[in-house]
Amino acid sequence: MNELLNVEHLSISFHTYNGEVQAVRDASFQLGRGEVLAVVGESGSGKSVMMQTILKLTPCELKGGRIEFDGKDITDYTDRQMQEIRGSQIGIIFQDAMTSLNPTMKIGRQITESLLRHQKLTRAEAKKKALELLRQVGINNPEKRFHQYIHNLSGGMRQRVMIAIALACKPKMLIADEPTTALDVTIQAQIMDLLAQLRKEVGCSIVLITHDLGVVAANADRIAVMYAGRVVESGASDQIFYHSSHPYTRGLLESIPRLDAPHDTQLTYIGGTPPDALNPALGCAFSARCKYAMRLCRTQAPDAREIQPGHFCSCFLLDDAAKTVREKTGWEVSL
Amino acid sequence: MQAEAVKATRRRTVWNVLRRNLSLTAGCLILLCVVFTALFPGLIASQSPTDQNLTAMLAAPSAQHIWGTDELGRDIFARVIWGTRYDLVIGLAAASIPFVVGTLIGLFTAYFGGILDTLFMRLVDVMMSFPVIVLIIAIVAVLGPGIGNMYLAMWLVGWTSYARLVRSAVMVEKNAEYVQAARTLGYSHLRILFRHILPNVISGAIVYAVSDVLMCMLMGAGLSFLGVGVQPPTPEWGAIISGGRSFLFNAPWISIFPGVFLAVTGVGLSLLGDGLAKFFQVKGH
Repeated sequence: MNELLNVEHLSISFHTYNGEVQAVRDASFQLGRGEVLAVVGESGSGKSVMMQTILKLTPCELKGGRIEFDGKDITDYTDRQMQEIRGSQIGIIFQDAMTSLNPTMKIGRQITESLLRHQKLTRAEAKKKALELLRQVGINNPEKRFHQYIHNLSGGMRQRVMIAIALACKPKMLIADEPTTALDVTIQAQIMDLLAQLRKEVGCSIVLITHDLGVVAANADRIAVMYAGRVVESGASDQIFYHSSHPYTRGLLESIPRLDAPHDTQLTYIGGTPPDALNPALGCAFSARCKYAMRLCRTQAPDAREIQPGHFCSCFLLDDAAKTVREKTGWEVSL
Repeated sequence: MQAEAVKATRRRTVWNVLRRNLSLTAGCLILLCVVFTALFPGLIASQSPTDQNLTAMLAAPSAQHIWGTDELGRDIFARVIWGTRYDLVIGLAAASIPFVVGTLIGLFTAYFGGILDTLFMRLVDVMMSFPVIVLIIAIVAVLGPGIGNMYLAMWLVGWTSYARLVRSAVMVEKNAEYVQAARTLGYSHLRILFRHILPNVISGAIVYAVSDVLMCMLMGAGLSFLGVGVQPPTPEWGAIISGGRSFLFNAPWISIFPGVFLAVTGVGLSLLGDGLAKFFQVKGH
């Protein structure tokens, strides 16, 4: 069994004053050992919530599904049990290091704290390892930085510190929640290169949560596309980029501006807005925005089907019954 | 070499803070003098604060008694100087226990929430609906006069302000991303509370505590003035002022000098409070 993380039919909801919010609905995906899985989707699609639920960090209700990590079923783990996994086996990098690092704690102490908690080192050993980690993530003059606060560092430096903390205990899995959103493009590239390099050195699997397909193209082995709490398509990076089969995935790819396009080319976009999580649609969540939607799409939610080995898609257009619709609209099943 | 550089930087930082924050500097200087007086009253006042000299009753300020004497011939200068110790101890003791207890209650109730939070906050609402001085006098009246009961009354009433202050700050901070990040690192709730949240919410409570020390000193003086606080012959400023009430026209020095000392200490604490508030604002908390 090569899977490090196996999520099956996960459904998550929140109870609010206005009613029940269905944040994630029947989501399934796998993460292999040493693999980079990109979870792509627009804001509010449930990608961050899903990852935080895996770590039991959100006050949500698990309506159904199963979470298996490193061969162990952690679905019903208590907070105390999760404390042993968090940090030591699963690390996380947040998108804004300025708010994710403690402003009243020196950088060195924030790194050593994690080492002291999980690896039972002495203070001197922890300090030595922390300085080593700072060097490893490309921070110059680590002895000086060790005694500084986060406000003394630049955005890129802060993100490097965040990565150092996340990787301090050599976790098996790293969740990178939009790690480059708050950074400028050149720093983004440096951070992604650093993650790729550290992945080889540490040998951990990475879940990359993002809505930037450019970042995904260069770094992911596999991709899961989320829309309105559902994984609508998943597969290998090449399968998604060159053989995407869901209208939403295609819409995302078509809306990326291209440098080789004629200068008078209009940007394409996906019309409409995502559905209300309080009152989810009966059928396919994307049906209201999909130009290929059929009557069936509005009444029934499609199941995921395997188009090619490892390539799954939830769309009725893939059915034989939808052949006439495909012909009429010019939709081609990409294989 | 590096350690020396760090020390030099720290020295520079302290100097810069004091240079830029005049109210903090002034407050610190005044309080240093007050604390020195409280620690070493014998070095400043050579006479005993309790020795009576019935041949020098209500003596005006002179070379022998620079601030005069009271109705029992006790030296006012010695009584005021020695009284600094009592008043400062009253202020610190009466404010420190509520500071600790209130901060802990605010921390835990806000972080864990639930029924405990609701119960404590309703209790705070009930206690805050009474005027503080009336509540303290009522408690002392039930328990009886004396310094111990005065402390107890102040402790029972004082924690509510800290609890509410800290609770409101924790309610904001517990949802901060760095707290979420601390949870993702597998830290226990206690570690998160004391190592991560507390340092980020304590500044408001510290600033309030400085002004609360002053409030407690004034409260202590007020209770002693009313005869339910410190009992004679203890040289406490409120008690001295109260003792001089009957002689305000023919021996005003009895009440004036302890009153001035109380006011100066109050100004020092107010300046320190303002300075700390400014300092914490600059630091971004």
